[in-house]
Amino acid sequence: MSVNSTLEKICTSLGKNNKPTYVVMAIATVKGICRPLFTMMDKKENPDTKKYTAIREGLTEIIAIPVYWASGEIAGKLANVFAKPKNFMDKTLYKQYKNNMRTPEVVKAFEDAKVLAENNLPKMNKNLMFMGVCGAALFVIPALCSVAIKPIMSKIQKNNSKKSLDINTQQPVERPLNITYNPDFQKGENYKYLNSFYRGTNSGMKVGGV
Amino acid sequence: MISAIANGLSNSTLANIAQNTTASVSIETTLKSIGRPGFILIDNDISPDTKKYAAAKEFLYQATCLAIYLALITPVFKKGAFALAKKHIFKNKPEFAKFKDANEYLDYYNLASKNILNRRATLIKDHSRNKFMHDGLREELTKNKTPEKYPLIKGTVELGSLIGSVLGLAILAPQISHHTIHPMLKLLGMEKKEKLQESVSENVASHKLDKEV
Repeated sequence: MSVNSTLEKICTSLGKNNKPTYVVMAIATVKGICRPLFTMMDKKENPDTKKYTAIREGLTEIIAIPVYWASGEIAGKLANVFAKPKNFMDKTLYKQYKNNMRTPEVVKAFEDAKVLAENNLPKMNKNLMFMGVCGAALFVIPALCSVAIKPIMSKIQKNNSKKSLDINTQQPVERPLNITYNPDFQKGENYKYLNSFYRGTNSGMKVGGV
Repeated sequence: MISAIANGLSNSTLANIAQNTTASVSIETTLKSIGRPGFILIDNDISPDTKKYAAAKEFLYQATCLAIYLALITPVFKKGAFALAKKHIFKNKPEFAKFKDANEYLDYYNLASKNILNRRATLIKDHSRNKFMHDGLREELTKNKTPEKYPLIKGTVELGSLIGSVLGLAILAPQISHHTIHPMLKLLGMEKKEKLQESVSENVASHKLDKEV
């Protein structure tokens, strides 16, 4: 299959059925690749901050892609709820139809409404999909990110800090801030003497020495 | 109530917008530029100054994205894709020869999506009296209940818009906004405040340290 015929197939299918989810998913995918890449390429930022930001940006888009798809599809499915003949015909006529009153006027109104509902189903599907995508961009994705990203990021950070502690550092040793000099009392045979002065050798010349 | 919603959802114009990459991305970005700063402003956990700063930054980012998208990406990629397909990729396809450019095709497509009565009513208006007088397009629109919509052309235009949207919103707009947002915030007097706050907090921290030492 040549490139042209593949492109023709893609274009024709896109021309017949262009879902609003396609473009937002494509944007999120490229953002998910490029934004972390740009962040990692920033030479001014320190490596830890870069890593943190890049993971965070990547995670946001990883969450966004399936949410866009699911929101669009779920909202689109709601079209089946609205695309019913009763929503496209007069209420009194529909009540008569429901009560099995099959006058020609009622039957015609019902048939017309049925055709209208069938014709409007694809339009409703697309409109609801679009609304689903907008809802996802405005409410669902920010809410999910604020709930999901924080624990994931703290878990990643915890793992990183554990690893670096094992490899590079030792447990920090606590030292007291106020060091006081404790005179060293040594036990002799009969008495205690204070070992607080320098006791050098008792030979040679000394000036003012002990 | 439900029937009113059903009628609203059956709107052809809205369905055309939903299937139009450029229109749907523009609407979504506009909603984001209003909605996201709005949510930041109603958040009670952040201090008022930080709220204002974050909301302004988010609004400016989305507004910059929209401006770049509408000014640069849409005309270039939409028209470019049609021209490229007509002259090179699909030069043997006769449907491309029927339309001068992407705008003429999209005008035709919008009319073809309407029902025949609305289509006829639009075509007899003054501004549309001389439209589509070639290649049997006017006859197709006025006489055929379901006129040919040329999905290959529509798909080509949409693919161009899609590629433009991805390049514009995922690569170009963040880079440009990165360089423009801070000067704009400075102009609004918000960047200065933030920096002042930072320097104040730094001063407080160093003062505390001095005391401790």
